[in-house]
Amino acid sequence: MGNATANTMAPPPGGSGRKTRIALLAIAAIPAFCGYPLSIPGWQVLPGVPASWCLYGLMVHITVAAVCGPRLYANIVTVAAMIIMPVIFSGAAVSHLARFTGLSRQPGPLASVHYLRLCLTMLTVIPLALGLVTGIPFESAEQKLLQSSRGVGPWQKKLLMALRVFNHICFTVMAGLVETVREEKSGLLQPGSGRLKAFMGLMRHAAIEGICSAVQYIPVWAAEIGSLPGSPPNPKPCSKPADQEEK
Amino acid sequence: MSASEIKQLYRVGIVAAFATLAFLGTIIIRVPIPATGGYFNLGDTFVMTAALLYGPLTGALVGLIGPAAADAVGFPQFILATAVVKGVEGALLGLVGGGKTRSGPRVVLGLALAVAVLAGGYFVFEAWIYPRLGRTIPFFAVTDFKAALAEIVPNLLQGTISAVLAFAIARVMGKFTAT
Repeated sequence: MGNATANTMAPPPGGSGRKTRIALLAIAAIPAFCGYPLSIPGWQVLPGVPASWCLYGLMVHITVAAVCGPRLYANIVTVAAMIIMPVIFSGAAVSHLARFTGLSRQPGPLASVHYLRLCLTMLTVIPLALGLVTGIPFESAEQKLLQSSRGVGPWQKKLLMALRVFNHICFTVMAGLVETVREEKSGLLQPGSGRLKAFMGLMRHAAIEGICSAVQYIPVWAAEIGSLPGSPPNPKPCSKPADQEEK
Repeated sequence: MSASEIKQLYRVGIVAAFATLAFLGTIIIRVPIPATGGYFNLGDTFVMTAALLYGPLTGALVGLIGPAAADAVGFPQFILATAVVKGVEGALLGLVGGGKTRSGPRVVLGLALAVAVLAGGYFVFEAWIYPRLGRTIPFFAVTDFKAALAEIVPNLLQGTISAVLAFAIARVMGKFTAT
């Protein structure tokens, strides 16, 4: 997820309808996250694939497209497909291998239904989650906190720190890591047993680089955010003036 | 601006960084486990590294936030189990082998306990807690004893690979931060 991805996943300008958009998507997400009424047995499109989930998935996509706009919706579906494809295909491959080697006795059609249902669930839940996440104004939230005329309270400072780190990792560190993996991937193509070693080495290298890049500015940011003027203590309307207290 | 406030902000930043890395590490590499509908991932590497480098509180918070947030993207029924199991895993590893008490044998013992918590914790949730919850809330009716049994080996494998990677990373990072 580099800068280019970050820009293409940016929500459309105009923050007035943002709350409505998040509220609409949150309401649409309720059945997916609580199971009602989707788990009630009913008409099935295929054995094991309920029609309720198919209709719900369709409704979710219409809602996300209507609320986010066609351009953002296209990007959301692309990212969702990139997440879903490896899961479904690698899962099906693992399942087939397990059956082929005798580790699993699950019949083939059952596994197919399982992956159809998984694909349907992920095709519904991931666009919903991405639609919700792109609706949260991370970048403007930081600016809003910094420009507060009443100062920045201790909890706001902590929130500011977490937001800054999250933005830095998602939009800067990940772009660098993608480059590292591209440069180092040649080791994975070598024949024989060196592949696993190369994979572990690449994973370790990527993780160390990711951690170092992720934490390198944290001490500076802690000092910077810590030096922001704090919010004044709340006035006590019920307290008596000093001269009255003396009496 | 007090030193304790800066220290607190630094800790918040570290938790946010490792939680985000665990979240990304979990959603980028996902291999499904057919028997249970769960999946194999390497997000544990960051939970274990955080616990080894910064101690139990950071480890617990990273385990609680990062992988559970990743479960919300695609596998929401596992959020509860993941938050509890990985939170405990990070806390226990941090207590035994993390932070300033870090030494070779304690680190290895801590990592072994973390792998055991990972495999055992998911087994308890999937074999007993989820089926009971599923009787009243169908959302949780996704596993049973047989499926939980089938997930022990993949979880042990996931934990072991993550532990090896976390051990290597913590060694390099330990040297890095010491110089």
